[in-house]
Amino acid sequence: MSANYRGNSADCHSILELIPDYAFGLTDAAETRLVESNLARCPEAASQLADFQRLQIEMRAAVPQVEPSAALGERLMAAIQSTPAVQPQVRTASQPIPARRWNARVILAAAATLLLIASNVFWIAQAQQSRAQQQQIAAQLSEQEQILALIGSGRAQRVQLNAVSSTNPQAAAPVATLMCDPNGRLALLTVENFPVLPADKVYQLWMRQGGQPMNVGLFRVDESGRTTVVVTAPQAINSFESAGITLEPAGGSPKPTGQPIVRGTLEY
Amino acid sequence: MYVPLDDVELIRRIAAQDEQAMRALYQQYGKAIYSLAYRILQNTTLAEEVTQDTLLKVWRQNTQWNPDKGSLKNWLLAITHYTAIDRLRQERRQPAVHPDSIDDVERKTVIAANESGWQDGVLLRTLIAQLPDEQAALIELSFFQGMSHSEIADRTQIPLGTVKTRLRMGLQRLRELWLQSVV
Repeated sequence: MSANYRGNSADCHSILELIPDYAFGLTDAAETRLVESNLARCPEAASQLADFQRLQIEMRAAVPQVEPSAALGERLMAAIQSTPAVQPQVRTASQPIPARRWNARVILAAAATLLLIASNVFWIAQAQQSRAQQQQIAAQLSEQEQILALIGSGRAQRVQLNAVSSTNPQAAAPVATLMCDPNGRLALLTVENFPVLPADKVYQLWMRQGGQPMNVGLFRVDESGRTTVVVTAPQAINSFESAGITLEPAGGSPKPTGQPIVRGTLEY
Repeated sequence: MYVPLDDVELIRRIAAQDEQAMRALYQQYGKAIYSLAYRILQNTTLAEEVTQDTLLKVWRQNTQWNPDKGSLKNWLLAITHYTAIDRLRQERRQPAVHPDSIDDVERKTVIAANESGWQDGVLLRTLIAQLPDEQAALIELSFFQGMSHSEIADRTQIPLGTVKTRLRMGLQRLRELWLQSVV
């Protein structure tokens, strides 16, 4: 692998180089992990991957068409008749739930269980918090799955938000990219070259509809000035005219309080 | 007249173990599935077995189609592709069982990579013709023979680094040509 790879972090150029191999299942386990852990923040790589996936679809469908033997259909039907689908296991009427016998041993066990529960309220609360975190993680994974499905579907459109003005001409200009299905509400936001923020500040993404800005989400950047987040617009993205990012107090603002750092027209 | 069923309805009925829906699935997509399996395996017996295996995976619900992620046909062809490559790899370990054996297919494939096969698709034929022969042959070995870089290097006696570079360049070039042709 290239010297540009450090752990599971790599520059987007290195990821881009691996995309043909990754798309065709030719990367080794380390390269596969590297691509998958960096894909979301490398829009060009994600876009090329979507191209290769669509190309593979074409390649599979473009093979010469050949008629199978007339007997194949009947063999298939015979096979399915002897191959039931996997069905969820259900308890039938002939398998009644065994009646409980309330003997002294059971009562003691129940009492011990109640005592245990009562004395562990703290741990139950912890478990509930853990479940809440699991639900949050599941929701995030669902969003990521939807984004990956979007990228793979070929419906994804890319919109670049460019710097409005640069306060430091020596530094690289901040830039943001939205990858989205214009008919949907989810988008993958990637930003680069954004100044690292103090704790009392946050970046806020807005989309304008009829000239009115609507909050889309808050985010911070890592020490390299980058981040990639999934954001959800309040309505279908194609109902907005433009998008921009402003610097706001921690917790965000109901309306932008300053000039946008980057902005762009939502044209596809 | 045979009227194709809506794909979502078809899969819903198959999930409910409707055998007629399974028959309809075969009528709608059996030929495309078989054609891809035959393209990879170049053997009628093996291609029919892979076609049946693919459709039985749908019937048994070992894997489930998500309409949001693409068409039913493309999903079925992706399953077919991987099933056929798996079968091809099994056959490589047990060669010469069938009359038109895998060894024979592989020999023909390397020779004929720029004159037959998947280039028979109208669009792709014109695109592949624009690739250097050695790049086209490596794409063939990778995509339709399921070979890894090192397996291709062993087969073609081309250094591993050259295989990687040449295949990557070929795939990128093919992508560029394809984008130019479809946009």
